[in-house]
Amino acid sequence: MHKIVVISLASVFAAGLAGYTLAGPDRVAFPSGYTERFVLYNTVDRPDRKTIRFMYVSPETHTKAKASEPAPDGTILIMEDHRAKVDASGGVQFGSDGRLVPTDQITNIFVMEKRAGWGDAYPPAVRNGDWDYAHYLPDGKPKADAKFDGCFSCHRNRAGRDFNFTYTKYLMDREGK
Amino acid sequence: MRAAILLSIAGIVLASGSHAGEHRIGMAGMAYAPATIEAKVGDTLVFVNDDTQAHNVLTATVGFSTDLGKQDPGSETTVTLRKSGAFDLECVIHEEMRARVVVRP
Ligand SMILES: [Cu+2]
Repeated sequence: MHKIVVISLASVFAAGLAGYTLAGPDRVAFPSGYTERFVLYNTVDRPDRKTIRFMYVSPETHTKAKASEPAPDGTILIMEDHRAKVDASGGVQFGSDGRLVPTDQITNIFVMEKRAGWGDAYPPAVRNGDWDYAHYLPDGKPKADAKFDGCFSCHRNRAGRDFNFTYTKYLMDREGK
Repeated sequence: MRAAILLSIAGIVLASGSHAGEHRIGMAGMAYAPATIEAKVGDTLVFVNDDTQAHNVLTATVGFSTDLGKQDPGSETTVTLRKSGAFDLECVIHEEMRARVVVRP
């Protein structure tokens, strides 16, 4: 019996990230009502994709967060992609603040959430601390064919900043570090 | 003679004040060069990947945050500076690649 369990675990690992049964959208839930409840801490222009990324953080953890420490357990970060306003020829437009102009059209909602022990589901070479990822569509349904290998591999480039690009940077700037 | 030189220098300063400047930033050896850029509104930053591997330019400073996407070796990306202030640059792929840009009005 014990041997059978070991073998089936090994086959899950061999199948890659898609094979994890308790990972991704299964446990990173769609954060309903985030536009009202969460803190919009930054927006990132992505001119090559004609997109503006709205960055939100969970308010309960945000008040406790410090630049010098990993984000508190239970932190949820959301990256909500908006299409940019374009002119008649399809070129992006800039507002009086010199920034891309977001429309209300949302294309993707990416969520990363950390909970103690969640990282155990992933091998050390993949693991992003205790973070896990989900990819939702504007209607709140998980994107059916979503792949998370790219999330894990890219965010590993900021292992020294708790696996995120904009949130720890926001805290550092807020604290003048 | 001295007065003439001073006048011509003043002329150069005046001329540069009315023309947008271009600042070229290389990436060879996994480092932005120069790593400190002083510019003014209307100038352009041209990121030149003169390295042998892919890089990227990300600004995560609030009010300036921009992700220029991946840049393969040999490619250039141009950005126009549309507002004054200071912001940090970093490569998404290589955390240690950093630069700072100060934009005057
Ligand atoms: Cu790089």
